[in-house]
Amino acid sequence: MITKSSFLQNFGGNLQQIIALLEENFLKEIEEIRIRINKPLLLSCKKKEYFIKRDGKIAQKIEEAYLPSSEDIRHTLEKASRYSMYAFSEEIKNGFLTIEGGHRIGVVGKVVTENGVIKSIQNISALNIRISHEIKGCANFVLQYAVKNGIFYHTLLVSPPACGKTTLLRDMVRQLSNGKKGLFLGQTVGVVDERGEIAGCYQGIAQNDIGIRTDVLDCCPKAEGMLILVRSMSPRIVAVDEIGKKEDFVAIESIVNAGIQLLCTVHGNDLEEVKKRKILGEMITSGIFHTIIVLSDRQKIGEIACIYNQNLKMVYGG
Amino acid sequence: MKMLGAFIVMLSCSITGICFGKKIVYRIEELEQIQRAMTTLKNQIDFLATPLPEALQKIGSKQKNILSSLFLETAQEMEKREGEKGEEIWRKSVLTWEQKTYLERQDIDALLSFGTSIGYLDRAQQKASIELLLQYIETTLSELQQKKKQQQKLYPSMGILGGMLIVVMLL
Repeated sequence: MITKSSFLQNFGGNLQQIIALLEENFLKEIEEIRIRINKPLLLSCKKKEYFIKRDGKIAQKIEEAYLPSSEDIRHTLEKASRYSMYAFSEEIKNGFLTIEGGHRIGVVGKVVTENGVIKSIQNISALNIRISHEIKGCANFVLQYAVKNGIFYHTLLVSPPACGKTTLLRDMVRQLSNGKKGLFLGQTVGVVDERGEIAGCYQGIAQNDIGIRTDVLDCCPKAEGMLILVRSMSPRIVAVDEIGKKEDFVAIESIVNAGIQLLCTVHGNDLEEVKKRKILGEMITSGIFHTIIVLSDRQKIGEIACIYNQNLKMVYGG
Repeated sequence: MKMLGAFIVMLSCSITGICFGKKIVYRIEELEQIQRAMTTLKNQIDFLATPLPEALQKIGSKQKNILSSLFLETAQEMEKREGEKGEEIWRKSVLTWEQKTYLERQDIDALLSFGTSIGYLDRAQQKASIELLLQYIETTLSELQQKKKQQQKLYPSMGILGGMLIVVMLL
């Protein structure tokens, strides 16, 4: 959820006026704002796309839409970074920066490399502002499956992109960390937030509510981060987003061996597809994960399509 | 009576002379303050990647001199993020602050040109733009130190001599 005044500060040039003119109710629902030089200004909201005119109204024809200039992008970045782009140079190398409120600005432009290593991105030509949505309580339902007799077991979330997997993961982390009366006690949760999306750290402070017993390693590569957490913060549960690399699985193995419970997400449309993947598939069939939750956006974003148990038997949905 | 008048004329002329001589001393002091503050800012940017509003706030609140108001005001305006570019905010603060100082046009210009680099650069470039400012201050300071030696003697003695001249003419 975003409040207009603080959110507006992040926009420069004509964009500030345009966003200011948007209706408050509409603004609250926005998921993405896409700004490309000389291409129509695009907002996406509830799985639909809207072109926006200079006066902040929705354009009926594409030709009416506002075309952002390079100055708009430049100025927006300047303000979103609080006139301190240099403070985000490490993040920019990975193609995004996280701003106040936990929103993420993805950037593309000319990549500057030195000896094959990305140094920075110059002449930024497009921005994708992903608004972080915190939906407290969205994990209530799945936690009934993931927690048994007050204990949380290894859980995998499978979801296509932009189906609310990070939002669900965040709320699970929050609830597991805070505890739930009558269901389970709060536990120490370690989060490796490689892309800065779960906690939405801004200047090291989590912008999203991720619970009282949660420690975050911000912008840290997952594999290394998981091991650091185990060494440094002795978590009971480790949460990571979007596993997939070989080294991730090596780290996961040591997590599992250390008796720490794992909460992770992976991109995929359904269980069958994920099972075909080499290492992950083996892990799934060997029954490491006690609960596998599959998300979809068939009816609405964040919909739980089905839940499987350890023996890959469907216990919910169909 | 005549003697008293002569004494007053002499005194005021000498004071004027000394004040003229002091002007350069104040300018040197201010430039040195800027030099120290900007060096700290450079380190904040280079090693800690502190965002500008925070860095300016931090450095500004530690200063006990004329520079503090410039840094604190700029930090405040930047924190508001009302619509101006970083460069404009810096420019505005410098130009209002300028009146309180003994700095000269070229010093202010150097400060302003640092402003043009605010906002859209990576760390190395941001650092380079501060280094440029520091370099300017350094060369100006060494020039001024030499000038100071001459002027500090020149202006007070000119004041005394001028006073004497007036007294002689009036007598």
